[in-house]
Amino acid sequence: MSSTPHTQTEMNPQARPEPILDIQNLITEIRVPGRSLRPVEIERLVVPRGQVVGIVGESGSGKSMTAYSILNLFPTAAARIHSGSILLDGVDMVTARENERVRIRGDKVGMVFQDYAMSFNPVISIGKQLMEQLLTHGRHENAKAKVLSVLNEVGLSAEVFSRYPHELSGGMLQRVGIASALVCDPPLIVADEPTTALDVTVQAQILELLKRIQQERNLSILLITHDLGIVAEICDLVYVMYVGQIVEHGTVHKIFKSPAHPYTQGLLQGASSVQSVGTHEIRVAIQGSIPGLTEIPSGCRFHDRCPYTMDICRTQEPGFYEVNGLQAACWLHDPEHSHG
Amino acid sequence: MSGSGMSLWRYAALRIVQSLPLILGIIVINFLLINLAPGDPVTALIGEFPAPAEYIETVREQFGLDQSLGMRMLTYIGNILQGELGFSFNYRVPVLELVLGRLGRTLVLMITTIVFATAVGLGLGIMAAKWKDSPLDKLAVGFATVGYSIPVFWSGQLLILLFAVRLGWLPSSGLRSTRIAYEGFALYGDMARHMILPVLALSLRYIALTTRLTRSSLIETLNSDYVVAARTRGIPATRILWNHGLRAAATPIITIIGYHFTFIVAGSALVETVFGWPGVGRLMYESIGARDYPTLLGILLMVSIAVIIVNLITDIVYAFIDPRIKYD
Repeated sequence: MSSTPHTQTEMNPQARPEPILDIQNLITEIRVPGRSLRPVEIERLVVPRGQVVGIVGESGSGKSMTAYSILNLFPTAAARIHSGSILLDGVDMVTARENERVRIRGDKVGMVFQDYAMSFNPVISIGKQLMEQLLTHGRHENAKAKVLSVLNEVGLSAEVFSRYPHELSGGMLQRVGIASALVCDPPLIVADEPTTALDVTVQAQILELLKRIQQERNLSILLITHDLGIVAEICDLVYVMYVGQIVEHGTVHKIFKSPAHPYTQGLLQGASSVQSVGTHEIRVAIQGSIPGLTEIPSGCRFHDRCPYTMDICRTQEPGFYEVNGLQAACWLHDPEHSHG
Repeated sequence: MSGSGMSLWRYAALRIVQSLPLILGIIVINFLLINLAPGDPVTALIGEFPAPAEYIETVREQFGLDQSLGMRMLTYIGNILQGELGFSFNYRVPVLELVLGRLGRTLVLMITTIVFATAVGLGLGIMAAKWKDSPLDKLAVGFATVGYSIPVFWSGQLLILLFAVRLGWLPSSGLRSTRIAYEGFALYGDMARHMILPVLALSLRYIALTTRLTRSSLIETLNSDYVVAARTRGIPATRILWNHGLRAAATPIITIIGYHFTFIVAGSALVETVFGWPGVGRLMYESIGARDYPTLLGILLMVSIAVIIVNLITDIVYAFIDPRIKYD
């Protein structure tokens, strides 16, 4: 992997302020008749200020549910946070009252969706929708000028203000999506597969845009993607997710150089073998496919696909072990079980 | 909307030109249908007593009924083109004058019904959607099902039985009280009291439809992706309901207003008959009984034109609400 410029160590080497996002022991559940499924079980996930953190995993690994959990807002009434804490700029989104959460959404955290075409009301002009967001959050002063400047910042002309969503191209709409995430000057942006639905050439432009804005504004970004290429391009830290859990995390540089978890190793091999194909799905160089939420394996959730499975993997969940500066949840790195 | 001004007028003009052949077709079909119906206007006019054959012939000639069907139709169409709707057999006055004299009363009834029913139906639909699956929602849906199924003439009679006969709160029929001569505002109040029951009877089905439609389109909108996206931007639920939800629900509701305008016209004929409301609907009913073909044809023609105009207005309003709709 080509090494990319990292900013994380340059800014605050020692005196670390509180992170912009700190998730602890989060369990998100979906209640279906007769039982409760758990698409997200995250022990710890931290986004330091001014950094780009990636969550990477196959589809079905619980990445999008993690994004919705951060806002404590789900597209379906069946989903809710079961337990845990999500400190967003110091406010716990799990215990905060709904009216406080409404004030935070869109103001302290902006969200960018994969489905840009579906993220705006088709019968209200772009400008009005951005204005609505600003005014809702009590930012009445120079609201129109603010909207125009943020449109300009994402590379759109002032003319877009009076346009309707159907009059814009996919790339333009995703720029509007980013403008909407930025319009209230939030310290954090959560971007859920922001380039996946776009043409390859447009993907690169949107990625460039995110990178530039991140640097100019010193933003924190939580970037959810299945695309390791994107992670390599703009992330500082990365969390690898598998069936709702984090299996490995660390700096992008280290993970790409020497991944410690067999799942990450498989992901990277798969990514390098199909890079030229440009498909939307991760080709995992691992046998089998990701299990559904109703058939979560016992022990390590990856054991039935892992080439190094041991007895203990089938019965007990591994904790995190430090391996070359990375954190990996794998029995292989337990001194008692690793057999060299 | 880009350059809506000019294209709007062009679109309206085009639609009007396009509807001219339609109106001609309606005239022809109405004319033939009415003449297919059993009964002879001249007999109806003269009555049951035996009249001399010569007199019958004179009357027949007087009204041009001795000519062939095709000839009469051509004459009729020719007259319409000159703005002439014919002469009522029954009332012995020009049809246009007769209908226009009663139109106001029917319009008052219809417009009150549309405004009232739309307001109530919207309110019920919004509440049902907002508190989906609550007892209130179930009550609204149940009411809508029943309201939609009850025919107007029956609900009208039930209302008379309850409010006029049993409770004696409201007058059962007529335009105003005949025993007391009200004047000024008191007269309007008296007419309003007379309108309550007919409007209720006519509204029932309309309220039911609007409730169901508002509820379903609102529920669909509130579950759509862009509403979820708006919530992630921190737009409060009430604002989403009023600004985003109702805007999206407006299109089908306007469709209902346009589409069911015809049902309100038909319903008003029944309601005016049941409640003795001297409007165009009652005139239509009487004209059928009296074989008053010119009057009947005149009313049908005017209703057809009204329906076409209402549909045109509906289409234009669509484009105002939804920028994706273009006048093509």
